[in-house]
Amino acid sequence: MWGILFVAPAVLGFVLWQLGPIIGSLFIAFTDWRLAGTPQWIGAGNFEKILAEDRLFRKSLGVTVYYSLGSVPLRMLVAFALAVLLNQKIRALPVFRTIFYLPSIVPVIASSMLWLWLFNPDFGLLNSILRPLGFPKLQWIYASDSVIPALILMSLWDIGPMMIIFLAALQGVPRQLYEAVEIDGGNAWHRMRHITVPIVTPAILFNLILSIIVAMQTFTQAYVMTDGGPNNNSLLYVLYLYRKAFEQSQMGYASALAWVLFIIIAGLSLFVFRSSSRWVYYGGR
Amino acid sequence: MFSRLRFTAGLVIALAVAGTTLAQVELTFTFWGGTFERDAVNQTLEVFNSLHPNIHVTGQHIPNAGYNEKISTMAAGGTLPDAGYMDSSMALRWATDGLIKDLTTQFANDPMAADRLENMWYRWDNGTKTIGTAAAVESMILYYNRDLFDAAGIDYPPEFASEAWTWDEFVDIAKQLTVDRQGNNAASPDFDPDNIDVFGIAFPTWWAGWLPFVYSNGGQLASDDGTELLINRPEAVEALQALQDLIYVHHVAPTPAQSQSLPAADIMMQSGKVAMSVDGHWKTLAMSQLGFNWSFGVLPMHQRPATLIWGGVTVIFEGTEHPDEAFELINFLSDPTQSALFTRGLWMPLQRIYYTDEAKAAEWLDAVPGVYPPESRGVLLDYTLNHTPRQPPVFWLKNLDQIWTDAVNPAMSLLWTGEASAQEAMDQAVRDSEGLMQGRW
Repeated sequence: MWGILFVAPAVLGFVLWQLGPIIGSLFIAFTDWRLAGTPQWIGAGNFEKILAEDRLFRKSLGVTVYYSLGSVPLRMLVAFALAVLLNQKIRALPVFRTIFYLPSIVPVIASSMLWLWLFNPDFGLLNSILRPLGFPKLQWIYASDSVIPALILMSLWDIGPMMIIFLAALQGVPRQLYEAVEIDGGNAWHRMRHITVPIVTPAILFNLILSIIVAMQTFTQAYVMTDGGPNNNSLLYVLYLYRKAFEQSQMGYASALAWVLFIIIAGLSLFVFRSSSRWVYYGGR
Repeated sequence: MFSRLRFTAGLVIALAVAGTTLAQVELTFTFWGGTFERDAVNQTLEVFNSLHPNIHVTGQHIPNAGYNEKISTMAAGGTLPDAGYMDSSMALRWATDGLIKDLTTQFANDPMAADRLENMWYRWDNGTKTIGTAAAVESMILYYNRDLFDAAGIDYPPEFASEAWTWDEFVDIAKQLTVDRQGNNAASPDFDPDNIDVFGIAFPTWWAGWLPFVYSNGGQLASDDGTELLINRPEAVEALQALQDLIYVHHVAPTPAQSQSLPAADIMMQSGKVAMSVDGHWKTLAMSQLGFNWSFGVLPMHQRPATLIWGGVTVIFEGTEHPDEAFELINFLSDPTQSALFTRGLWMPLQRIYYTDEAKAAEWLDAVPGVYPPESRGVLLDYTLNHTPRQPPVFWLKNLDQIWTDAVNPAMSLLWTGEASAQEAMDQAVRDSEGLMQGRW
């Protein structure tokens, strides 16, 4: 009885403010709704238009996939490497762990403003470090071909939570397994390859799925820093969706775009889950 | 005696009751603008409230960047205000979608309406229906920092359209005013374009920043029937290329990266880091309060002097329960004899007489000392009235917001980053606009 009462806020909150709108948007996705009047039912019309003739749908999906292919592996790799380093027995460990986690608690708007300065070609920190080393004047987010690589680099900023999850997994690796490797004459590489990585694969799976979802839904950086430019080369999918909904008032079309993205992400997640039986190791099996 | 007391008491009660019933009309008015504009509009609404005891208007300020989104959300939620500013590119679509009131009858009964400048009307259905006019007239002009001109020993930008600088004269002057950190100006062989300290010119990269020069060169944005963009025609391309060259050939204007990281042009000008800036007349409100030695002149020209006039429209939303009071409000705001927004440098009057009659012109230009500089009569009267294109800018095109975001803006970003020539960029814009051009309202 009391239990039901205590979970009620969470359950009601989810049903009213999330499930309700989700179902509502599915309905709206099959309508032509330009804010005025009532939504007109047009069946699969929005979806046909998206798949058949929407040039910017393809463009934004391409941009998003490019961004994700860059940022997901890079973030995983760096987060894992940091977790390994922060799992060593060194002095002032809590200080280092705090420092590397700290960027993640900066709100994304604030960090976007900060990175605008870092990326400034004329007086930004990045170019003032790189130019003395002989690099040309990089344009970062201000050129069509470097805007996504720049945003990928920036995506390393908030890997703190991922790093913590890896760290927790690393601390769960049984000591005696490492000792076994040492007795067999294995070196650090063998320990990493045959003990550490297999044991933390559940954490890798978790982080992989989460970071795919986060990458595919990235919005704020492009909205705040580039507005999708130059020339739509940072028109991330969710930014395109946002434009359709709130700048062009095409709520039905935008809802359809949202559901297409949902299907893509669900498909990717399913694919990763399916493949996980081949590479994820749960102790005891 | 007793009955008289009773009569007085009754009168007081009756007045109090009448007072409360009169005060019952509540209106909400949404608007955008910087801090100066926000304060000025709020003060004007307070004046309206004090003059109209039966109406109470609440101003709701929404920052420029999120205005369209916020209003769209309000429309989706059925919580639109009674009246408010409306973005020119969205206004007529919303009107035909039934979100904004058709005010044709109200304006037909308004004797003052006929004197409003023709290009200020927002009409549709072959001009038979209207949501009204822009709240006020705005034009694009050339602000400058007098001290920087004095220091360089250069004559100020001309105040009369007949004396407007040719483009070459303008580029030469901009070069002399652009200075690097070593103190060399852009005309000097030792000039270092990588370390510019003072920029000769800044201009906005949205349409109001480039369209005047396209018109000045004999080009136009789109065909009169709204079925074709014309910005890849030689006249338009030449003007746009000239603007791009200001950044990358002459090095007298900031790149997009520089503009994004630097303060706004008016603040840069105040601190002496920008000598000239193309901006809207509305900036006069802010400039006059920034406390530096400034003025304005007419824009440089290609073939003929040209500026744009237009304005964001103030509309009455369809859901209002008090259309008459809302109409009174938007007419009050647009009346130079009542609304302080005109005398303080935010808005220019809609009625022709305020430009042609010297006594009427003095009513808004001279009312508040220190707002309008002496050059105002040339720059704001003759220029506004006689040197604007026949075609009003942009708002009459159907599907305009999609044309901007999907076709024109991406191409423009290539132009401003210097990745494509004006011809290449505009060819792309025209190509991408195919299928989006739906004619005119």
